[in-house]
Amino acid sequence: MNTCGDEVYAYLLARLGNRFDADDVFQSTFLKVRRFLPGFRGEASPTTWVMRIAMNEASTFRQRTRHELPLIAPEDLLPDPGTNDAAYDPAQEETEREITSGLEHLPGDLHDVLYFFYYKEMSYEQIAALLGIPAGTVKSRMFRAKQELRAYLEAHCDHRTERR
Amino acid sequence: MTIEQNDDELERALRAHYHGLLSDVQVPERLRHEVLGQVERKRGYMASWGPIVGLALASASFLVVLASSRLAEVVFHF
Repeated sequence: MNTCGDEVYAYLLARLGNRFDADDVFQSTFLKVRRFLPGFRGEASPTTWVMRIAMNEASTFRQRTRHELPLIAPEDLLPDPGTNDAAYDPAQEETEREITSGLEHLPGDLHDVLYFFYYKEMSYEQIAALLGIPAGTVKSRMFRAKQELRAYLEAHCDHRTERR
Repeated sequence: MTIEQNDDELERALRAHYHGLLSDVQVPERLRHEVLGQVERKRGYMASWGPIVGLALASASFLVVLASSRLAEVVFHF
């Protein structure tokens, strides 16, 4: 767990948006890893294998809790990077909040390609190998993800402008 | 804000978002211990059944051998 635990935890935080849910899914992921370990044939690297289990667990969790109201304590929310910074920029914080909100509204498969491309800096081919899909599908998901995120930001920005 | 019009801006904002939130993120020690504890408990539970299952299998095979030898004795007697 030590080798890939941090990587899986960072992914779950990004995908689920809070520590409370990330902790839950992290636990269920490693229980599944323990259960399925005897069947692991080594066709993918152990980290890839564990990451796939984490992605499935996160999707299942999201589907299960889609209709539930969030009951999250403030300390379980992700840290706000702007607030601890000496050079605090309100506009930057606003952008950050909009991006966070926009990402929460994206379907999981679209969010995943953004995460692996922009945070893990993986190529389309590497993402394709990880997700077990063709590289062309990764490209189209990337296009759709940015399109949907941009549409969300546009709508959100218009709404904010109308209120002023 | 021009982020919704500019692809570069969006990409820059996404990179900043992920790096701002996730750089140096580690599994909390409490969670690490909980997960390792759960895995160990599960392993311990399975391990505690091991000797019982072994004893049951040994007893069953002993009974099979005993029964077959008794059967052979009866058959050869006739």
